[in-house]
Amino acid sequence: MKYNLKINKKIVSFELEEEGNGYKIVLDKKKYSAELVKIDSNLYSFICDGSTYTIAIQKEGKRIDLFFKGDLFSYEIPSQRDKGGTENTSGIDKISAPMPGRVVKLLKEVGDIVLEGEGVVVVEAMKMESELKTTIDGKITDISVKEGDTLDLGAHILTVESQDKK
Amino acid sequence: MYKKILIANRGEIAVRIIRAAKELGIKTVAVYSDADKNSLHVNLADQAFNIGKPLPSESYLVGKKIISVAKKAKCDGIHPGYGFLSENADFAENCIKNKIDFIGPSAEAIRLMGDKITSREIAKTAKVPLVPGTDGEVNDNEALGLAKKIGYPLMIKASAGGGGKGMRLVHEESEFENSLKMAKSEAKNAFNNDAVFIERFIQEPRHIEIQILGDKKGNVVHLFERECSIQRRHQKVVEEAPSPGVSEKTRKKMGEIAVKLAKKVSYSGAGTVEFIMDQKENFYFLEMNTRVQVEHPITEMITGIDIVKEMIKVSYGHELSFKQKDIERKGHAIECRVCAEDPDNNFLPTPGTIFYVKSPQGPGVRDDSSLFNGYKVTTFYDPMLSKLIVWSEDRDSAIKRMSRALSEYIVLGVKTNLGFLVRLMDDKDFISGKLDTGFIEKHKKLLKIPKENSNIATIASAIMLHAGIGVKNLERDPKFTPWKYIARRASVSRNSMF
Repeated sequence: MKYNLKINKKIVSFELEEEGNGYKIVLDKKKYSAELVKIDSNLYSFICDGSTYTIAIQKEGKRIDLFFKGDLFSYEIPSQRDKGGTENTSGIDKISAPMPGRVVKLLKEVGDIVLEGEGVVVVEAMKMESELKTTIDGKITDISVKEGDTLDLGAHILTVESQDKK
Repeated sequence: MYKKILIANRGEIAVRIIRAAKELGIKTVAVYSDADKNSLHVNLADQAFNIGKPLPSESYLVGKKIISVAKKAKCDGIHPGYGFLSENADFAENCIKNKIDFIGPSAEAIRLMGDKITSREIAKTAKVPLVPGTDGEVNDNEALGLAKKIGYPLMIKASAGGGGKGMRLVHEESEFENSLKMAKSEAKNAFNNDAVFIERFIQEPRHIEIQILGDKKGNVVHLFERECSIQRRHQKVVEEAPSPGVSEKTRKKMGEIAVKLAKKVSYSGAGTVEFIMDQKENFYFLEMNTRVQVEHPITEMITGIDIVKEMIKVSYGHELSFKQKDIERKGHAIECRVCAEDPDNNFLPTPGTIFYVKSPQGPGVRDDSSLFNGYKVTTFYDPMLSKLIVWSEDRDSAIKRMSRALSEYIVLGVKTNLGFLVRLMDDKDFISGKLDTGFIEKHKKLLKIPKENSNIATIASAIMLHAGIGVKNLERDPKFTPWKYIARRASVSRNSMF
């Protein structure tokens, strides 16, 4: 079965089949054999390719919070709209305002090559500056704001397009 | 001994003080804001009183309210903890005026040592080393000569300065004249005042501090040093004792100097003298903290002295029960501050609700925490959730023990710095002990989650998602027993986090 999960605005796709007591999962073209067993309210024993881990999980509505090796991973179960032809799997990252605010600084120009996780614009909201990052490797193809502009929630800021897109 | 004391604080330090008081047979009174009604300190104390709204300025910082609760509850002492009113000389004075002991130094000592300028002056008269520099502003004619005396590299700083304006780092004499000109013109533009002073620039500084304890009979001892160089946003994250960078000779010298300084102001109670130290062990006075320090447990672990109990005893008038020569240190202790913050996002606080918490156990592990399942992390207070402390016979084994303990720590619900701490304990530069206050800045890769960890997390979530749709039940079946679980785990290769 094909599934999608969303983490940090990025869609992760994988295939999962049941196999004996556990599952066969294909992620990033790699195959994994895994089992997950609940041992206490939020605690799970996770066995993956012969290694065992203890993981804590909280599932609430469309959100899965998972704690592993000191880090918290928050997954979102994508809505129908996100499935299949999502923005990121299609190689386009449209960056928009996460909350109403103001453009403090544009860190890139149209034509710049950016890498996944790289900051592209600094916005200010609630007196706090934060850097918005691209979730894909690619090239900036348009910027529709300038420094100092005020932003409504969801306003389009810029677009990054993957270069290996057909 | 005191009959009943009020703890004018919240979080883990309130819990720590309540525990010490209980062990001394003293009744405890907690105070709490509206946001802390369900807190652990409220639960553990014998009595608890609400003192107002969540904002500290409407609760924990309102000395009047706290004193009136103490009077109502018939307390004979108030322990301020750290932060909030702990270094407020007026509050200390008001406690005494209301015939309640302030468990800490005298208002006079707080006033003298709490002020950066007066404490520097006192340090000078006590011959405590200060960062070499000009005492005040310099004029152009004498500047070059003074710079030579101070030595390079040095900093030129605007007297009216702040925010890095009018500040110049000068590496060698040939750069001096030009840098001075530029610093002055920058200062003139920024503050309309071109006065500057010169100070030695301490390269790769370490933060080293000495714990002291004094009684009201004039005895003062030191409990050796702590290294607190692992910092973010100028705040400590990891502390250890002893410091891997301090020799026996320097340790002795620093300890003696700290005691001398404390005696200058007739210091009683627990206090900390902070120094900045270069990599050649030259150290200079920074400031004194006239209260119990967050990181006091590591000193307790290596000396076996309960600092909070000693504070209460000396405040009541007891003489210190030991002399300097009786104090020995043994082994190595490390503390990690577990905070609700995102290391990969500038350590920004991450408020929210903690669904589930499991703290580490086992030999040599101490967790000073106020966490519980359902704990709410609010934006009103410090994001520190707990302090994980380990002790072991030497530094290497203490790091391994911390690493092991961190791997057992589970905090589910908000992002924390636990993953960063796990990676830090595994970092070869940290293990080598070559630390300075810029360590985190130089090791930014530790802030990122390794890809293999994200993959594991994604695979586990994938199964959760699949099961959640009702395809398969993950609940253990009724025939499941812990023995089966253990056997199952034993049957796969041992590469686990436990």
